[in-house]
Amino acid sequence: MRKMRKGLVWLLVAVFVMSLAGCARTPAPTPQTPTTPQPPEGPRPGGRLVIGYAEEPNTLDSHKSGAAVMHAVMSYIGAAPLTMHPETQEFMDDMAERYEVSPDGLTFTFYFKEGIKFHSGKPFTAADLKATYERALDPATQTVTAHAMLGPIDRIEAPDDRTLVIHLKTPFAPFMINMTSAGYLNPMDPTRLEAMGADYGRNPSSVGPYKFKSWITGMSIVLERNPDYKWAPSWYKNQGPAYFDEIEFKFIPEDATRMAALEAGEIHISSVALTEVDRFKNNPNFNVYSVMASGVNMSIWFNHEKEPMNDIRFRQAVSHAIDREAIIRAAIDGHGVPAYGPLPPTIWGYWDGVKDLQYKLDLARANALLDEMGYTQTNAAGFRMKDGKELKVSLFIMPTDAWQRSSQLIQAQLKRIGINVEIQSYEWGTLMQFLSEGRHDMNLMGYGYSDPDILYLTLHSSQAGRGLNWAFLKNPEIDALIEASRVTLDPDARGKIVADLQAAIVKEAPWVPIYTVISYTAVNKKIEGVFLNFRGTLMLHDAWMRQ
Amino acid sequence: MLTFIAKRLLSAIPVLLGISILVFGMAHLAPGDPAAIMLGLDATAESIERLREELGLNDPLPVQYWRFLSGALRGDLGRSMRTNRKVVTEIADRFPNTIKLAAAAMALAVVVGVTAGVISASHHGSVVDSGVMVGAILGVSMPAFWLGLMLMYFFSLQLRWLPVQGMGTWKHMVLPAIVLGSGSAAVLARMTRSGMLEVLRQDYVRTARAKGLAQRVVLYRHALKNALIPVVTIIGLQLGGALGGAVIVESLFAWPGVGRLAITALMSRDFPMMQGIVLYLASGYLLANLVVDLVYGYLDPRIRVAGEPDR
Repeated sequence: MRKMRKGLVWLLVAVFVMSLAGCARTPAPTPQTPTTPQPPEGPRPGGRLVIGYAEEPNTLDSHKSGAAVMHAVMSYIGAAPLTMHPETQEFMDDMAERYEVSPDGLTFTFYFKEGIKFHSGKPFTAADLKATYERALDPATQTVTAHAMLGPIDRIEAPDDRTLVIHLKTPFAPFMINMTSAGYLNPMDPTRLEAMGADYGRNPSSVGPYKFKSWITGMSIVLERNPDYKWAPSWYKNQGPAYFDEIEFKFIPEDATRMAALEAGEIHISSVALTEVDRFKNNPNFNVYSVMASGVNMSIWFNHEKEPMNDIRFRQAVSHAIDREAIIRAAIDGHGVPAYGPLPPTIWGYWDGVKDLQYKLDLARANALLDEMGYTQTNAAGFRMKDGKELKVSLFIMPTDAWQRSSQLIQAQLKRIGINVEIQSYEWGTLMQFLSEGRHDMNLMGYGYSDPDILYLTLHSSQAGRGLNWAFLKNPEIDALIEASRVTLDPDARGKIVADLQAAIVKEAPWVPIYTVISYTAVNKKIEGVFLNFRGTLMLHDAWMRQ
Repeated sequence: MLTFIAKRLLSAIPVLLGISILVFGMAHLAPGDPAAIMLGLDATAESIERLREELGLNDPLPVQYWRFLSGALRGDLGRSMRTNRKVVTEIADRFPNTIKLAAAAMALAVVVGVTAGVISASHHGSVVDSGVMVGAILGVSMPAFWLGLMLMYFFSLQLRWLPVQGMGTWKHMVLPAIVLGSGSAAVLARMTRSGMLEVLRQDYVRTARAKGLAQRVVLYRHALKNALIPVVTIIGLQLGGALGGAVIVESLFAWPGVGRLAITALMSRDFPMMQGIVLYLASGYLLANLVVDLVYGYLDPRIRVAGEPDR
């Protein structure tokens, strides 16, 4: 679980940077600007697609980075055993033409397509993927995210060149979805690994539709078409090599510059700064795709080991006093949806009933709850008192714009019911340390994840003090439901458990969920056939460039 | 001349030593255990201890400093905590780009600044003089970020003459060089103007004019050379600044130089990289000053004869 925790920390970080990847499961995002009629023209090979990113990867070694941009670049250089259909969300073939799962959910067998080759020309074998995953699991590799995605692997076998068998120690529900991650779990070319050694991350080789070509540090990474590629997932119309001659990833840290480069046609695709969304939606040269993040990006977490947060009436009072709409307007310019439960609609198992169970904005009810707790006196500053002590609590945050603005609003909103909130701002590393030590009364937190298993990592009692359960929640009913959700593989039965779990969590109110972010990607209309998958990754194999 | 250069280089040694102590102290003064920071939240006490041993963090500070210094002398500044590449390699990748941009910006600043200064001084008290000086004040006071965005808007988005960002052709260099050089050009214009005004009042200039020499010859051959001494000092300082101070311009125009590397290192608490960049910047300043001293010798033979520049 330690390993998973580290991976998750990266996933949490990925939420803050809110870049293209690490996002959502919205099926087939629809362009928000109607496409103008174009003369009929079919897909044609050629052209260099330029994609703008704010950040540069630290490495292209999939085991050594948790950065969203590394994941994005490697998604085209690499391939995964499976893929997920962007519309139906079914698991489909990628490198593996079919797969089997044992009834106990512990053994996964993948049968690979024939003729897959690495970019070096070396034929791909199941043993190569076995070696790659064993490298990710080896503590000496100091893997960042990939080992957390592989989960509790017991052993891996490659009985022949085209069959891989993975045995798990315990059922691990996110395993299948993780097997679709070409960015993190692609096979590494053993000849290149040996030749490059520690520098593999500057010159990677895998089996994807594009080959690594060049990297100008601080400026760009260029990939070129892999002419041998003919093992694309079957849901793509294009079953041959990719259409673009090259893909260039340009690293442009300033939002304003990236937006100008997009407008000037120097880059074709980029995430859009929230303040610029309307301008690009109104620009006839672009399609703007919106993707709801796969996580609750902001919640207030209560430290259950301290008073008065350990009293459910206090947590309910705070929940009744928070105005989500106001925070969404102030923190993210209105580009989000209110969250009422611990999961967003974009994560499998989301239960809509949380809307009925939510603590509605109701200051009278909030005041009544605090009165009931005995905070009936008021001091000169207007804050509630009990036994001569002011009702004062800390709120730990990170110094990002959105968090600072939100925390100030929360401070003002809670002042209305007589709670004095003291905001304490720390950079990420220090914040995590303080939260693990339980120094906080309340904190702001967000996550991005692909499965309801996030609730195990953030709310199971075993994760208090040593994992991400910074609310220090230890509730036997919630624990039991979480444990059942991890070992139940039948989707209907698991769905029912996850729904009950959400109801139990909303009732207990360990968090005040506030919002899920909507992020935007602008695509120049010269580029046809782009999809975004549930991770927000651009699916480009059917994409091509108009003359 | 060689003795002069050798002396100057020798005198740079104690300065660099002092800087190396400061740079080395950075990692040790910063809060937190570097080993714990490197390993992250996941680390166990044993793994932190193992890394401390590996990095030699348990040795006495002077021993650690000696190791850092001897490594630096061999050109080994350690590895970046972010990319795990050699710090020297990372800086070497970016260095030529920063030099290119700094050189272009300074060339622009010198041509525009000195010319404007001379014109302003020769038209002392006129509308031209006031115009140039207003321009200089604007040049100094305009924030680089704002100026950059405005130029980008007009020249890249409206007129479509120049690219918004990146590096490659001469066109890519125009906007960042203007933004980086505008402040220096303004300072140089003011310095040249005041230097020229002082020199133009001197007797030898009056003599030159009395001999009937053309205004152009008086200005450029007789007056300018003497007015340039303080200007050259400023050029040296500005060049040193441009080598490292391009942080904003490099970020704005996505120019892959050392300034952007510094920002990334700072954001990711990449101590070895920050140490390397500070050392590089300090060396840049020292080198720029050495060049300035050599140019003094050319401009004023008295300095060359004395062998010791009189600053």
